[in-house]
Amino acid sequence: MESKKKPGDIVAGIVVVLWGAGVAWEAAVQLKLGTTTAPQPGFFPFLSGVFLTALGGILLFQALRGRSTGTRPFKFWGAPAIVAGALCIYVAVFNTVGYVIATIPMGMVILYVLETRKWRTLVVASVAVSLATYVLFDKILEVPLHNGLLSRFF
Amino acid sequence: MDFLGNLQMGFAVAITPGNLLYCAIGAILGTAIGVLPGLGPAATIALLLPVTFNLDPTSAVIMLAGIFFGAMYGGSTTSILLNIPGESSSVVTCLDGYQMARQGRAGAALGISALGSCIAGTVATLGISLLSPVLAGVAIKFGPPEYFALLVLGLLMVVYLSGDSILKGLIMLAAGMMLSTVGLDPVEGQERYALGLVRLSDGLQFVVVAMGLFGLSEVLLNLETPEVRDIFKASLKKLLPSLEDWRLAGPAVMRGSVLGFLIGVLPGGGAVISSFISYAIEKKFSKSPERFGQGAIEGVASPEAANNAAATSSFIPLLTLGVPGNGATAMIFIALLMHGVRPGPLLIQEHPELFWGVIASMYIGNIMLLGLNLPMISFWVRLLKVPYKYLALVIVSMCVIGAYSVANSIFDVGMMIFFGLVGYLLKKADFPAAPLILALILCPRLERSLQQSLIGSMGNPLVFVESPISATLIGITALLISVPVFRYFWSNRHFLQRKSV
Repeated sequence: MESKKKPGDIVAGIVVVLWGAGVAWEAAVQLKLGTTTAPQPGFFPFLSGVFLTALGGILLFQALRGRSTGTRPFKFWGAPAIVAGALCIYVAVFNTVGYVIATIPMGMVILYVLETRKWRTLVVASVAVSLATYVLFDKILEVPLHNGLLSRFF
Repeated sequence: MDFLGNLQMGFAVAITPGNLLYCAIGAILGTAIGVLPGLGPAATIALLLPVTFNLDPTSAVIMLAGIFFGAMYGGSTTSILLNIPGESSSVVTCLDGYQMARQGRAGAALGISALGSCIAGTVATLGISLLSPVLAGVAIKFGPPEYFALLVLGLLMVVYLSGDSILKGLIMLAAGMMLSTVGLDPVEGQERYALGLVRLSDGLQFVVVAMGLFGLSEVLLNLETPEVRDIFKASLKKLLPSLEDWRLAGPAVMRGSVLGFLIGVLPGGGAVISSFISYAIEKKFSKSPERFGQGAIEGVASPEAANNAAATSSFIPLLTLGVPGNGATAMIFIALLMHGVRPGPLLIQEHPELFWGVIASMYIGNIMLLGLNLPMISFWVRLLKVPYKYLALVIVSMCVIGAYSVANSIFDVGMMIFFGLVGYLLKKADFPAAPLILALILCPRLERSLQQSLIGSMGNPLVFVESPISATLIGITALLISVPVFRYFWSNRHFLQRKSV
């Protein structure tokens, strides 16, 4: 094992400790813990919060000593960040425009970040996947999808 | 009803045209995703859960199980021809499979892989048929303390066997424990951690979390690196191994089958670990271990048999104890719950047609997969030419559809995207996702068992060691916890001694 401090694990350790402490605090203060003879709603979450805090503390301690397993490098996060942004916009417009229309630009973004540069390919592939999945699920497999702006046509 | 009578009933269910069709669809889809790197069986089953909404539970499980087994068969193709494992369970197959392909023996490697998988799958299915009713008979006597002890041991074993870092696995287990408490408390009905959101008061939807963690996160991770697939142009003639090949590989297939079956029964001890252990054992006990890594056919036969046997036997804890041991069986557990069927010891009594129908379909599926894999190998190789970008687009669309279809709500799509991003960050930080999903699924029952045990015993913690079954399970758990702690102190004894001085 490399004896070098791993910043990713240090951050993860801090996040886990804070999260666990928050969970345990809410379980103890907001929910009731009860007793072992009569456990209340906060009993089990409190245990999980304490468990999280302790394990996060060990991870943090190991990472600070350079004894943790480490993380993968965050060098190429541009493409995932763009797609994540596109998906957030997708959620925001989905109820208004519906599945078919919302999926086309989202598909174009995914194809673009995966190095498709021809406009015709971007448009044709995105429209084809959007329509094909809609027909397969909504019409054939009867899994209802939101039609949105196209509700008068489908 | 006796064993043969039950099996006959199972075959009567499995050979209906509809179930044969679903078995074939599962086998084809499974082989395809096994061949294509970048999407595992758990993610595929999660993506296809909405497709099963309109099926009866038996057909749904037959199809989903077919996907799982098909992925085990298909995963070896890319290992042998590309030196890229289609599935993590086929990583070890690269070592000798690719070398065989380079020596012009790709056909024999693919042949022994498919035939070995078929033999192992059949042996393991026979094991399930014989062992499951016995195990279910024992498990039916389990009370809350026994279930609590079993679930704790099962979850711990998943952590111990499924990842490189036990600590990170335990953190994911604790995270799943916490997330399982979101929603209404089962006893008092008090809202917990729902952040004031009505949709969260029902708790987190397993399907939505699984699609994000297994499906979308995989796509986000694959977006980082450009796709490189260099298909090795190997001769695919002579797919049937020679007599000499069989002399070497036959015993390896049998050893791999038995070992894979035994490891697969353990929670967390799925296809991946069984393939590595079986390869290591073959090499260790070989009269010519120097051939391993240079194209030894036993190095392909044994791990491929082991991973198939383990995938099959991992259905035993799922169907008899209601404890899924890996991501794929966890998804099948969810599918059963969504159809109103509770996996566990009562499954065989309450839904015999489902249990024995699925078992019979495993026998049929293995023969189907052999037929699909050997004659159609050229087709599966051509599938690798489909660019990943189109596959990514389809996967994301299916994640959206799957999440939306749970309750026809865009809120669930948002949750799926949130867990997709969380899954991406977890993968970057090397945290395994499987313990989180399994904890999310199993911890509501763990919490209930804990509460019932404590209330029933007036708060006496010794209730967990009073019965022989729970005492044994707790003893094994204590051993599992103490071994790494002891190892830590032993390996740091000099450092600790210096500190104390």
